[in-house]
Amino acid sequence: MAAETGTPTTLTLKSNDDELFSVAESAAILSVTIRNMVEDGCAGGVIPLDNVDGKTLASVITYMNGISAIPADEEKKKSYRDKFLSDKDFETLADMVLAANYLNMSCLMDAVSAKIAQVMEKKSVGWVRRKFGIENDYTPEEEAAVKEEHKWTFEGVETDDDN
Amino acid sequence: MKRAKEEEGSISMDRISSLPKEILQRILYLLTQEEATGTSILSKSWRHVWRTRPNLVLSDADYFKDKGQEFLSVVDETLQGYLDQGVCLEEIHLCMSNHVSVPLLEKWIPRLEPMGVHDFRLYVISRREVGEIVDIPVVFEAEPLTLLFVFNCDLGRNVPENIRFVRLQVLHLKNVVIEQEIFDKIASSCGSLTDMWFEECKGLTNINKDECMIEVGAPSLEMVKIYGSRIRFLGHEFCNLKSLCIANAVLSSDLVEESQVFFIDAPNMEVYEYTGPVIPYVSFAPTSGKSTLRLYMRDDDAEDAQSWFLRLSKLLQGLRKSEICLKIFHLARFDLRIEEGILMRDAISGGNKPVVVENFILEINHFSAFPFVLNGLFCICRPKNVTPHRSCYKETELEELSEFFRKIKKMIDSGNREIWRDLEGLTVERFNRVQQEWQPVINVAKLPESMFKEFRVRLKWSDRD
Repeated sequence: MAAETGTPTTLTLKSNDDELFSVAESAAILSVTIRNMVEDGCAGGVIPLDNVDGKTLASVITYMNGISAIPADEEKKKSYRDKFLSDKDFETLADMVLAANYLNMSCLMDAVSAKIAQVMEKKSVGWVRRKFGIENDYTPEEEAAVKEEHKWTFEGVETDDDN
Repeated sequence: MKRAKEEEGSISMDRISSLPKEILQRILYLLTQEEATGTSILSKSWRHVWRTRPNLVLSDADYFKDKGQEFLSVVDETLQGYLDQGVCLEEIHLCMSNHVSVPLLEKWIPRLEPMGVHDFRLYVISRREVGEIVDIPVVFEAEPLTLLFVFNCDLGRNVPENIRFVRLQVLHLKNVVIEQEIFDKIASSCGSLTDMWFEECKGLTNINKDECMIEVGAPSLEMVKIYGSRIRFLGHEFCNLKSLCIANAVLSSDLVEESQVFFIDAPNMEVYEYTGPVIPYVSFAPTSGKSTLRLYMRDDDAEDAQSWFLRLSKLLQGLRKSEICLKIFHLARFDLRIEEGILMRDAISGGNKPVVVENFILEINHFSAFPFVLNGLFCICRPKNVTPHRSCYKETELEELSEFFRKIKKMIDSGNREIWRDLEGLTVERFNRVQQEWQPVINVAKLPESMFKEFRVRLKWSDRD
């Protein structure tokens, strides 16, 4: 239960690989999932987050601390988000968007979705498959049929080039 | 707290494909329609994901040009897919340049709202030279319509019973023939309209002699652009109006028909642009922002220059709190005659200081007329920068220009003391393109090679506010 004293309350979060993290409650409640736990009074001990690994949780906590330190200024928050995500690779982004979804943090989810969309923009099918490790389980005939079905989309698009 | 970075590339597991649907939908929402649809070929699990993204953007241009039927079936099948799966479609942008697409609108417009659409943008663009009749009464009943752009069309003669543009925010009609009654109905039904563009439109009822009459009345308006029409402003309060651009339009008010006076109350105006042969009078007073005026001075105006400058003075007084840029196209063949004393008295009546004009540009054919125009102007305002313009540039005219600058100096030395006594300094400046700044020209008799518009006279006044 949130302490009613003046000192900031700290929560302990546990990742699914048993790493422990301390985080200020004021920052952690950016996650609607955690906020609900706090409000329901089940945040007293260690909060287990079964769907988030330690590496991702560390990142998310960095984000929570960073964004909650910025006063209500959408411009500044946006530029913080951009900077925060700028050096993340695609595996990390996928982990983060899952974590954001699990933790119910819509601002982070939107920002990561936009970042992933940016990665996919203007890329060939082959490039996207390799980048995200998507296995092409179509037979050549099936693939040709999908292409034929959406001819207008694939007109002039090379599906296997490398750019 | 942070771990050392793990080896990159060690994971080749396909994590993105197993992301929950709502995340994939958010990602696809941000892609172009082609990119989103193109994900169908990534793998079997991706085949239909694009059909669930909350937005659809389709145009019958580009690939579908000359493939009208194919466009019809793609739009039809895709929309049917949303309907069959019960997937919520929030936004749809349709661009149509082919008459073949009209049945689509008839079929789908009534279904959009039940499907969840709250942002429907429709672009109807005819490639032909005007006149293609788009008689689509169903459009007028499209409640989710937020943007309507119509180009090169004739909207027909059937006045719709109901117009339900409750969400319409942007209305842009360009080169459109429209029944006065239809336009009036549209205008009175859009309570949320923020942007209105009206370019070169004609009304059917008075097609032979007049343009369509636009009645502007929506208090929600933020931006109005009107080129070449007749306008009447209804009501007086436009608290949200930030930008008003009127070019070669005829203004009339509900107070005095045929007069060029229009009164509107727009305290938050940021941009006011006016281009036209007559000087309007405005009753709004922008407290900040910019006003750009482009006025023509023709033979008639030059003959009665006194009242022309008086009207200009009134207009400038009305705009005095904004940053004014004034351009006059001097087309008159006569010399101007003005009563300087009367003009000056009017300009500073009621204890007003002369209005400051940030930039004054004079487009003129004969430099000989320049001092007359300038004299009239100095009676009513305080230009900080004066730039002479010529429509065509000849090399020999640089000499004429230096002659002109010398004349200004002479005129100030010997002219009307009352006009010039507040002038503290005058410099001829040239724009240095390399350093991107104005620099004084020391020897006016010998101007360096430059384009005309790169010279100006900078004036320093002691009495400006």
